[in-house]
Amino acid sequence: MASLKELRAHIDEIPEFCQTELWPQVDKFNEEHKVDTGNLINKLKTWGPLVGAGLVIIFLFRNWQESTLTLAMRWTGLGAIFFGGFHITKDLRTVLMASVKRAQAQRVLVSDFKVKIVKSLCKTFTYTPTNPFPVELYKSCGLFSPSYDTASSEDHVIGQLEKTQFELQEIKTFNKETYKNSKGQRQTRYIPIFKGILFLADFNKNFNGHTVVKTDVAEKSLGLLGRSAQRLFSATSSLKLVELENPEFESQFKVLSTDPVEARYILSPSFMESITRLRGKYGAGVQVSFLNSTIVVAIQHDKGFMDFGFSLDNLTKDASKMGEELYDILEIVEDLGLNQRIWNKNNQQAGA
Amino acid sequence: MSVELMVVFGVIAVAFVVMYNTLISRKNEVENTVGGVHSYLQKRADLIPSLVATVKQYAAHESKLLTELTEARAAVQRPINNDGDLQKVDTMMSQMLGRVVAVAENYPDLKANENFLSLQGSLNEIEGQLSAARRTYNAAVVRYNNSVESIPTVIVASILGYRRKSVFQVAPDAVAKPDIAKLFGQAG
Repeated sequence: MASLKELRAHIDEIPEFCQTELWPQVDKFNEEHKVDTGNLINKLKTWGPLVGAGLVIIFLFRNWQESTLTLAMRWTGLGAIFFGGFHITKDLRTVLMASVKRAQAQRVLVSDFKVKIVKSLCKTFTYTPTNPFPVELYKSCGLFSPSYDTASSEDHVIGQLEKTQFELQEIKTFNKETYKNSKGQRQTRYIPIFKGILFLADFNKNFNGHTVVKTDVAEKSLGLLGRSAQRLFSATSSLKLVELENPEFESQFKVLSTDPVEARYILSPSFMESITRLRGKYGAGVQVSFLNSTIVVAIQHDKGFMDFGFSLDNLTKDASKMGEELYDILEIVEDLGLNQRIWNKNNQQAGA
Repeated sequence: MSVELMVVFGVIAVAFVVMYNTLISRKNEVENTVGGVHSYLQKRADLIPSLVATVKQYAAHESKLLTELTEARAAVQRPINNDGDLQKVDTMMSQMLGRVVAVAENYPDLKANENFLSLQGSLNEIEGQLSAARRTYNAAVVRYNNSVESIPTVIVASILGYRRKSVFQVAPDAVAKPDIAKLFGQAG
C-alpha cells in the first residue's frame, strides 16, 4: 500500500530509473530494429537526378501544343521516371517495411516501458495498456447518456493508496452521425460524447443509494427557470434533484439522488468544498457519481493521457510526464480525503 | 352568472387548489424529514447501552455521567410531538455524548479499547447521517417557510393557520470548546 508521499518520491526518481533500466533497452532496440537507409541514399544519389529530370521534362512540356517533339519529350520524361524509379523502388520498399516493423515493435516496447514505470512507482500497482471498455460502469454511473456508438478504453491502472483501492482508465465514447455533404454524398462523422479519465475508488462512507454530481448547464444558462425545469424533470425520475446549501457548489453543479438524506451524508459541507476545488483543478469537465459505496470521478481530458511521443529520444521526458499525469489523478484520493476513515466502513452496527 | 365570471372563479379555484396542494406537500415534506431525524436519533441512542457497558469497565467513577446518558436515551425513545422537542432531545444527547468522549481522554485503556474505538466510529458515522438528516430537515423547512411567507401562497397559508417553522440550530454549548476539567468536575 503506497502513499502519495512515497509516490511523489518515486516520480522524482523516474529519470534515474530511465537511465538505469530503460535506456539500455532502447539502445538494444535501436540495434535490433535499425532501419538501414544507406542503400536507399546511394540509389537516390545515382538515380534520383534522372527521376528529377524526368519530372522536370514532364512539367515543362505539360502545356505545350501537341506535336511529335512534345510527345517524344513526354515519353522521355516518363521513361526517365520509370527507369530511375525502378532502381529506387526496391530499396525504398525495404526501408518502408523496416520502418513499419520498427514502429510496431516500438509500440510494444513503449507499452512494456509503461508497465515498468508504473511498477517502479509502486509494486502493487497494475498497468494494462488496453482494457475492455467498462460498459457496466459507464452505463450505471449516471454521468453520461447510456447510449453510444463506439467506445474505447486504454491506460488502465489498478492499485491501492493507503486505505483506498482505486482504478482509473482513459475512455472515449462517440456517437455516429451520417450527413450529406455539399455534393450530396452521404458521409459519416463521429461526435465525441466523453473523452477523458474515469477514476473509480472505494469511498470512505457506507451508502446504499445512488447520487450524482453533474455540471449544471440548465441553471447556469436559464437561472431560476432552469432550476424549476430540473425539479420538474427529476420529479419523474428515480434520481431526484437535491438542493444544497453551498451557493458556489450549487452554481457549478446539480445534485441528483435516490435519497436526499444520503446525498447530504455524502456531500457534507467540507466535501462540497473539496469537489468545488477539484473542479478548479481539473476544469469544468469534472463530474462525480456515488454508487455502491464507491466514488466515480469523470474528468474530461481532450489531450492524451499517459501518452509517449513518436520518438524514443524523449523517453525520459515522456516517462516523467506520464508519472506526473498519473500522480495528478491519484491526488484525488487526498483532495477528497478518501483515506480519512473516522467512520466504521463495513461496520454493520452502524449501517448506512 | 356570466361566462366571464365563471372563468374568473374557475381560475381562482384552480389557483387555490394548486397553492393548497403545494403547502400540504411542503408541510408533509417537513414532517417526513422530522421522522428522518428522529430515526437517526434513535439509531444513535441504540448505541448507548454498549457505550455505557464499555465505559463502565474502565471508568466506573463516571457513574453519574453514565446515568445521565441512560436517561437521555430514554428521552429519545419517547414519542416526539413537535420540532422543538426534537431539537431539545438532539442537543441534550449530543452534549452528553460529547462529554463521554471528552472523559474517555482521561482513560488511556478505554481510549485504546477496540470496542470503544468501534463505537466511536459508529457514533461518527451516525453523527454524519444525523447531520445530513438535519440539513435535509432545514432544506424542507426553508422551502416550507418560503411558501408560507410568499405571495400569493401566504393567503392560503394564513387561512390554513400555517406558521413559519424554525430550522435546526446548533446549540452554543455544542460548538464551544469543552472545558475538560469542568466536565470531570461535573461527572465526578
